[in-house]
Amino acid sequence: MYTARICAQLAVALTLVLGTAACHGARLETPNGFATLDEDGAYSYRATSAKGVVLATRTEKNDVKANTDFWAETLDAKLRDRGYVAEGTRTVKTGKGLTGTQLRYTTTKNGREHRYWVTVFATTKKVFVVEAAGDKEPFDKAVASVDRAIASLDASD
Amino acid sequence: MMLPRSRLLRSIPVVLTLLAVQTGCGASSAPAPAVAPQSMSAKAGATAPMAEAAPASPPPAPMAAPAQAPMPSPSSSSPSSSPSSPNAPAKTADTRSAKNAGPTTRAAVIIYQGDLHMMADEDAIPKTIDKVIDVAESLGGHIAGRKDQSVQIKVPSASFREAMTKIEGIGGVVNRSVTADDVSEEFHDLEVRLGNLRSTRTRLQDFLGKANGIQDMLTVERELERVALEIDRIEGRLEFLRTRAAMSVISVALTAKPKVAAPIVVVTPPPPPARAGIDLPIPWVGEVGIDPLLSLRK
Repeated sequence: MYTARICAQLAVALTLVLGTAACHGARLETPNGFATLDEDGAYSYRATSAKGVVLATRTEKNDVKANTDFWAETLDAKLRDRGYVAEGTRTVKTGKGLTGTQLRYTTTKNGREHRYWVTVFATTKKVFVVEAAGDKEPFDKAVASVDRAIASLDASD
Repeated sequence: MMLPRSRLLRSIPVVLTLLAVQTGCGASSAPAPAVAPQSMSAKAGATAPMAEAAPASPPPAPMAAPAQAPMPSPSSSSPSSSPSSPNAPAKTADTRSAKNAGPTTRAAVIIYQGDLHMMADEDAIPKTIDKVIDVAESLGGHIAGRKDQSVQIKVPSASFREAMTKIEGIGGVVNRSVTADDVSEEFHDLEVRLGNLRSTRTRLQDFLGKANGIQDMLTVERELERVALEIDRIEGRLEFLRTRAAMSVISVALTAKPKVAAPIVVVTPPPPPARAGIDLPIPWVGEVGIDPLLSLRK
């Protein structure tokens, strides 16, 4: 009887743990020199360098069952409408085999040129958006770290 | 009366020799004022050595056209044109003839030649040539020659300056030159020589009428033939100069404007224009951007 109760409690606890982990959303391996921020808002993960290069992930439901190309084009249209200057598009692949589309832009913020990268991955149930931005100069110095962080995306349906 | 005949025969070679000397060299040193008082220069009159040998004979009338020929405009680059006002020489001649009408007055005989270099669009060259020809015809001139990219016209010398101005008005003139060749001296020398030769011919004809022997007649006729040939040659030369002075030649050469080569422009394809996005009922799509990302304060 006691053993049965213990097992039931363990099962409930495991379910809660797994459920919590699943709801946590996509995360990245925080690069050296970056600090991870607690997130409870729109982002499932966010980290920043001392010089203001910020990495973040969004985890959204893929309610419209669209693929990566759809989300990439949708985001691209929105961002261009808002004045972002497109610099190029590339395909990226995470270490876990997830393939996404990276959109690169420049924009001006507070009179300074900034870089803004949006990488989108779509699965059947979720859309993972990895954003990276910062002042052009420190961002360019941190590009390698940013690329590695994006490739380290840990996401699952 | 035998004496006169033998003396006459003996004197024929002497007279012929004198005539030959006169026609051969006397003309170039100008006749006496009595020969051509209206057409001789002061210099020619002062050095006239043949007064007795050249009886009076009226010189050809002075040419009207050369005397009226205008000089090129002051801006011309004529190497031989006068630096004074364009019409100065003609006016000077007129004034001289009015005030000092006498043996030192003679009309200037000037041959004008104009050269223009124009640039025009390749397609417009034939039309430009047509306009040049129109100018010539409107002034009483005519076309003298035409090639693909050049045309030569003749206009009355009195209208030379007007023709040049009108052609320049067509536009595209990049170079112009005017040559004024003063042939007055040659012309008037020829006139005097012609008068002398005609006098000689008259006297030779008189001798021929008085000659009795065949030998004498042949000798005189050979001389007459020589004089006639010389008269023909001088009359031809005078006619040539008269024609050239009356009608000025304007040559127009056209060059096609070089086509401006299109600059080599390396066109970097601009990023495609913003596409009209669909208005998805998904709020987070509109929230993606740099501002919320970089805003770290909660």
